[in-house]
Amino acid sequence: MKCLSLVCLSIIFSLALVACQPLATAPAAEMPAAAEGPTGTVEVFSWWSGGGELEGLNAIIEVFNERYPNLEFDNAAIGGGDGVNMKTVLETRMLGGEPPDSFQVWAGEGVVQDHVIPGRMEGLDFLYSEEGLYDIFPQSAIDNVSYQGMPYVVPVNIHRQNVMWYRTDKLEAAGIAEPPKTWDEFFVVAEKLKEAGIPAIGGASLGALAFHTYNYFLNSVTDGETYLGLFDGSVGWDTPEVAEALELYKRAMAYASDDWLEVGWGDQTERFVGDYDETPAIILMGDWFWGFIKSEEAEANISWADIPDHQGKYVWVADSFGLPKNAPNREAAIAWLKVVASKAGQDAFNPQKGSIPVRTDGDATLYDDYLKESMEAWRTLELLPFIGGLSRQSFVTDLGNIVNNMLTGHGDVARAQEELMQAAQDAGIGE
Amino acid sequence: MKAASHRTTLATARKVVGAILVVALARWVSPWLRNDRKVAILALAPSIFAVALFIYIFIGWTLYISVSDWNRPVLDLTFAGLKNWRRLFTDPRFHIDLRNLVFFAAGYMTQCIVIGFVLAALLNEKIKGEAFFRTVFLMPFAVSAVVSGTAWRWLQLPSSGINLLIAKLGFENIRPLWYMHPQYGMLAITVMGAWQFSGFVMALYLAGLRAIPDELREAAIIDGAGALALYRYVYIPMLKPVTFTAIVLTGAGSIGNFDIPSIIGTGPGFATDSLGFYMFEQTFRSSRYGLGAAVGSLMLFLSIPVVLPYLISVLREERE
Repeated sequence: MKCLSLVCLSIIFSLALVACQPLATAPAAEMPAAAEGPTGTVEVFSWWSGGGELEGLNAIIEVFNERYPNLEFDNAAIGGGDGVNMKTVLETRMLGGEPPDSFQVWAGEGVVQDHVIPGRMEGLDFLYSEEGLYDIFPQSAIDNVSYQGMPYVVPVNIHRQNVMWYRTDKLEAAGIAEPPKTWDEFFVVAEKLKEAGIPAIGGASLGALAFHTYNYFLNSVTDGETYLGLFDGSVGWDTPEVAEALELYKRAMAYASDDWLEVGWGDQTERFVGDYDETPAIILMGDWFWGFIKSEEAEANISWADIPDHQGKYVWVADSFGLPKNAPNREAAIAWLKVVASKAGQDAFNPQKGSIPVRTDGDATLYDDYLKESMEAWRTLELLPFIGGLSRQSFVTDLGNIVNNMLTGHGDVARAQEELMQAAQDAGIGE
Repeated sequence: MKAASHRTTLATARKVVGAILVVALARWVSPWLRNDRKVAILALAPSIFAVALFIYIFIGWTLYISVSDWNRPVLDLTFAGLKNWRRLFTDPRFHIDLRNLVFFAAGYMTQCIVIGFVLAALLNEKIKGEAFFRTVFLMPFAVSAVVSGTAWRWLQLPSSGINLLIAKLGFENIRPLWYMHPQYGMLAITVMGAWQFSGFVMALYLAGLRAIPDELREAAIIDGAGALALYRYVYIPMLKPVTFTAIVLTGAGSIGNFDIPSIIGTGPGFATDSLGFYMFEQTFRSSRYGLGAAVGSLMLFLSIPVVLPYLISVLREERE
């Protein structure tokens, strides 16, 4: 008892002593920054943790380190397709008022709805003006990253999302000379491949990633106006094309390998570049896959074409970085954004990543044949943002879950369409 | 010079005032501290405060969010009545998750309790190398759920793992889908959970068995009880409190199941989804904070019938 009293008394005594101390001196953070530029660490979130993505990130980090030797780059990448894990961690950090210095995000409506409108981001007009980005980025990209005329993120690349990759050796083995141009042709080809014992299309236990593949089928059955209308509210999700795309998706998956539900996308991409019984002849994926193919040195038997019924469309994705309010090291974050926007940064990053630069002055000689073709297509085809650039994250997650549940569970197209209508309403599409 | 002397006077004055304050406080607190009850309250105050804040206030906060309209990234605490709850009860995924909970609880609790009991009974026979086996059985409990979940995921992958072993044994036509089964995938998952927790239940039972007095065992044997009768009439009734604890722990574990679906996925048609994962996804991936809070609150309500009888029995024992 006496002991306890002594402990309590000593605590009270210490508190009283503290209370009698003179006021503390000003915190170190208020001291003026070093004259040669920002110092300290810059923590950057991304979901680039492997393959060509990691190589691209490392290349741009190298540019950053050269330009800012006093800054330490903290690569806080969290793996998981489409940033499914990173976005969760980011959301908890944002809600807790502890944002990283900068983070990867898809340009478009998602960042506006999920981060800009809730007041989490700083406007980047000053950076765009200082770095001359208003003149060097295409207007369509600037419009896509802006809200009420203010740009909020800096796009580092353009990916084409709608690409059909095919194995020339597999098609040849089934006696097929040309990849299919329409879905009708695809099903003829798929039957031939089936007879030869080759899965026609790559499928995987998709989880929330099913929205990517659904996007391909949706763009196969809609024109650009209807597709965009689904996201601005001028076309309802009860439109017959939505169901048609679901049907088409379901029908195509009958030609995937028997175990497609058992494997993830990572396994499927490994299979595609390797040589297994389950290696599919065709896989639908964005050209981030090109970075992976190159990093695996598997270009020999792989070629690319438009997704069936997608002729003339360039569905694009732009990875971007923004400046959260209360970024711990704001100056360092701005330094990172300057590198992201720079010619050197974009030309270091994109050839490795398998994407094209957003800057119109990118050095084309650094890019391979596929990417040169993509640059040309970006200039000439109808440009359509992908779903992640047109809607908030909640809709992207819901869409993936709804489609996945239909394909792997109940199989009811009408029910899936009803659920999509509800998800669109929840996401405030058309409000 | 004058300023320096002024500073010294000020510092001395501060010290004197500080000392007077300390003495006054000590005089005032000292008699108060002589009372045991007051000291106990003082000692418990930080934990009471922490529990009140981090558990009960947050439970209240979660309940409040569950009736708010906060289903977008922008904070919106407008009262929305039972909107989120109606949405929850009409969501087909929630219905599947409830079914999954029943499957998981049935499989997981049964396996943990039966396997835990059998292992404890075997070890209680004072076999050679008991300490070794005890450690081996208890080891999975110390392994991270992420590690064991990943290993079991590989083992139960239909195209490889255990199925390859079955095929090697000549039963090529037998190819269970394990956790990929659209209806019963959840039962396969219970094996993962039980593998991890059975050892802990074994430890509970072993401690219980060791606490049973030898005289009772000897008396039963003298009365002609065989091994089975010994368990049926002596051990199992005597181990009722342990079984009760095991039921509470595994029951609460079933309701809070999150790590396994987060590792192996939600399966075909949400066959391996859980309420915990559903809550997580709605809250942090779809920004439906209101709906997520409703799921969280419901999980709390579901755990009440599991935990309440236990708490009542503990309180009754204390009173006795």
